[in-house]
Amino acid sequence: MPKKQIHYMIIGNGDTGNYAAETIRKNDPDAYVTIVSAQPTHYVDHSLLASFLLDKQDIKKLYVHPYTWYRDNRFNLRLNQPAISLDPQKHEIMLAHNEIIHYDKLLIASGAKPKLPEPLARYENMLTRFCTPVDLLKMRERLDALKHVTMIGGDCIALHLAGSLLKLGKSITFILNEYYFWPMEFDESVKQRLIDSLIKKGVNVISEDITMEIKSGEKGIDVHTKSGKVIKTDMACLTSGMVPSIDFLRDSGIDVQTGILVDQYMHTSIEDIWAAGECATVYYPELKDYRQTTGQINAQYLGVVAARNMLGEHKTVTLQEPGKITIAGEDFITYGWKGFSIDI
Amino acid sequence: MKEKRLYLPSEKEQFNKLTTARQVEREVIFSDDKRDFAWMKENVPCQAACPALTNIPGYIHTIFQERYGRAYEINRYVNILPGVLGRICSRPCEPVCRHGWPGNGEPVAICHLKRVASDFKPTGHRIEEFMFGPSEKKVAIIGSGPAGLGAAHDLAILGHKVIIYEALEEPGGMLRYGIPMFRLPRNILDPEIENIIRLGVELKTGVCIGKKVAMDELLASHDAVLVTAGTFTANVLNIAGESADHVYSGLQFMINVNSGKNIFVGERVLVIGGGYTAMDCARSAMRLGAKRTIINILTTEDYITVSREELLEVKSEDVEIRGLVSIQSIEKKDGTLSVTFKHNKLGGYAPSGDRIAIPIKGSDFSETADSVIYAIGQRPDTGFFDNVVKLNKKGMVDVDPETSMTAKTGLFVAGDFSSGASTIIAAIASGRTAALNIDKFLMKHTRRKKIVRLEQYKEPLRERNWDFIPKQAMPVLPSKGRVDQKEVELGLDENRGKEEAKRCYLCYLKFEIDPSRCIYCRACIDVCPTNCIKLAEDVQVTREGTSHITVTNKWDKVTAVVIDNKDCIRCGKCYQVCPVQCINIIKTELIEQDIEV
Repeated sequence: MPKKQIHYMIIGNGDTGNYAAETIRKNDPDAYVTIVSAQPTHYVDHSLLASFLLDKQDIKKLYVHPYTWYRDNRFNLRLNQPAISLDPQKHEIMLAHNEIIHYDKLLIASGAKPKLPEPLARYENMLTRFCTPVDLLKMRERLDALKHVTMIGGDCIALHLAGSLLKLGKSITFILNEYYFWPMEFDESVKQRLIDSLIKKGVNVISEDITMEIKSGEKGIDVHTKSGKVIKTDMACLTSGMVPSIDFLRDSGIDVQTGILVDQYMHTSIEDIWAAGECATVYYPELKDYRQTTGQINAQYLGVVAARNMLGEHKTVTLQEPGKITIAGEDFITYGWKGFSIDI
Repeated sequence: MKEKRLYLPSEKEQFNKLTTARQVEREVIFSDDKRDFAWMKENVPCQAACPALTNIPGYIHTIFQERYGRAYEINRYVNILPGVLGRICSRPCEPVCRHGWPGNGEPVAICHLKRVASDFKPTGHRIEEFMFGPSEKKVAIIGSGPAGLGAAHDLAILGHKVIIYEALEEPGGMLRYGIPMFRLPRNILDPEIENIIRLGVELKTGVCIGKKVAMDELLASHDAVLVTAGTFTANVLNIAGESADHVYSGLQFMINVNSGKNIFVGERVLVIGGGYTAMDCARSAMRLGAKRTIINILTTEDYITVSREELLEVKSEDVEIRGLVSIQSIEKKDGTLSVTFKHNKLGGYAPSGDRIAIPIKGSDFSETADSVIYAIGQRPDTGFFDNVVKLNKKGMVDVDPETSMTAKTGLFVAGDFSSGASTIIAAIASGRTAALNIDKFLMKHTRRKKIVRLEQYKEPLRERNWDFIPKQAMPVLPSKGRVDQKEVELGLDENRGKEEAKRCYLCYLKFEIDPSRCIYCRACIDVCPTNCIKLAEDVQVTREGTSHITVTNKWDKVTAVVIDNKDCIRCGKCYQVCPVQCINIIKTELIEQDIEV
């Protein structure tokens, strides 16, 4: 009797999804693999987004794999088809256009969306984001008219973006809010070193204050802080980390905390469903705690671990070597990124 | 029962374009048929979910008519404190609202509309109370919280002499001492309590039963005693260091805050617990000057009782929520508190339906804090009780749910005191039920009952395009303005209130096709935006009132075209297109009626 062909479904066409798909194909040449993505664009290398602001290259250069790669590897790639619900009992997911797809084994790698801190929720339409290739193109269009950018909150992408904007001769005000600095080792001494390094790079840093209101000003945007400062700026860029994008799981019965709760084998609380990457909150035995994973290193590694467990192995997740960010000669540890320098 | 009544429409009603006649003769039928009650339960989900059975479509429609005083009264008849509930009700009605069903959008902001009725009722609007003659019976009520107030109101109306004994200095119970002023301003609470006291209720504050007055003394000098003493004993953590300085129970902390006492919280506050009290404590701590407040919960945000809206407000005030942790011990170190936690994993479900959290071995971690507030539930203080009635294993009093009476004749219990900590609306409903039971006990027969009022309407009262009005957001105080006890929610203005009122489907309207007049043209099916109009082979209605439609798509099998009111969104499109006017609209209301003997 021929072996039953297993349908592996992967929700998400990012680092995690692609690494998982590749791992599955290597180990099971007969597997039927579907990748479903909510995004209209290809799988891009996010660590290159900020540096891409510098030269006006074609966005296609950011694509990690050409389209033919998916065909050659027999991956069914479905772009721009968001999953809207999941029925774990029937092993089915429903897509936005009401198509229902059956799976045998499911990997949720839906990634994350930019976090909108609750106090700033009402100013959403005044804030600029920098997370996706679309954001990159939008910012590139406005670049010539920009003189001053205010960055609200900080994460690795923000630091990378700041580096590129500085090189383009833009002036920057950085409102550091310690709670939003997250994928880095962060305490009072690190914070002080970071402030000093940013000042050395010519950035205007506001540290003991947080953004309270954003209003449209005479020329651009006025950012009001808690202590009453008003910063007049051309663009208020919110970069305060990411939150898992798992809204479609709301009624599925899968356990979630901030992200989907998975055990050390990347398995969720429901049979035949795994989750990995930025959408997952992973239990690390060495920490005896859950950790929200972030960044490229983790996304790729976890995709591989999840895929191997889906193939029937029993692989336990471990913490990855941290990367480092260099600013004005100072090194800062980051958990999720390979690291970069904004000095060159 | 059938009667004809002549109504004179109010001035506003006359100008309302939907009411065309200047003088309307209405035919009203009152029914106590089981099937009508079952229809109400099945088709008006909001009213069925409300413990007090508030006529929600009824008051929302009067808000649309700008008859705010009337809307307030429709509420007050059954839930006694509309202004209070319009702010802090737990809203069991909203999750079941038909507008929130899949594909229909978001539920109607029922609670915010209750507040609209209260905010815009005319100054000095007329209150209607239908008083019974004096019965010469005396009833003592212990506790003046929502349950006690609800019972006092009804007992006073029914002609009994009511005396409330309140241990604290002012009436209101948890409403005054548990809920912070920024959620419930006291100038809203006070007049609503006053409306009850004015009915001839005697209020004795600062009287603690069991200390100043003995329980058996009270029983001897009154015809009935109702205990609505609430849950004023805080559950404890049972861990080391619990009694250290600056470790407070949430209940005591809120009582102190609400009494205006000065409490130390420091800069870093840890709150333990995931209920409304925990949220109130955290938000109050921020107002007392805390720089960082973390609410620690055993499971995750999905499994706590607090609503999404409340969580958003809590987070807007920069309070953090940390899930999957359990507190282990508290230690006093160099003036600060060192608190040890364990990380948790999610387990299965407890028989109560609560999610279980399992601490992970060896996952301890410590944190420093200036103060710790634990709000992990409350229970009734039954200390003054045991010489009169025996307590059960849980330390509560056994009560007959049919009569609200305990094993001791003439001694009744209601509200949180009998059920354990619940909600304001459940407590009011429980108090009112006990009042009717006490009345029956004293007068030997029932004097008030539930009844279904049916009235035919000549127009659908709604327009289809109202289904697309988005939910009106509640305006709130900007985060930086939240420094004192100023109310956070500012209330919908009249325009937004009316827009929100339009969103209500008015599920109490029953749409029925008269099969004797229907010509099977299917025009109604063509315009119906949902699939509620069905070709039926058979319609079965049981004696209990539940209905089942057997649908067919073969024309030779069709015996009737029927509207399934469970799926109907009352858009009125079918009524407008019907060429033979065979669709009846019947307003169906569940109301209370006094029984004349």
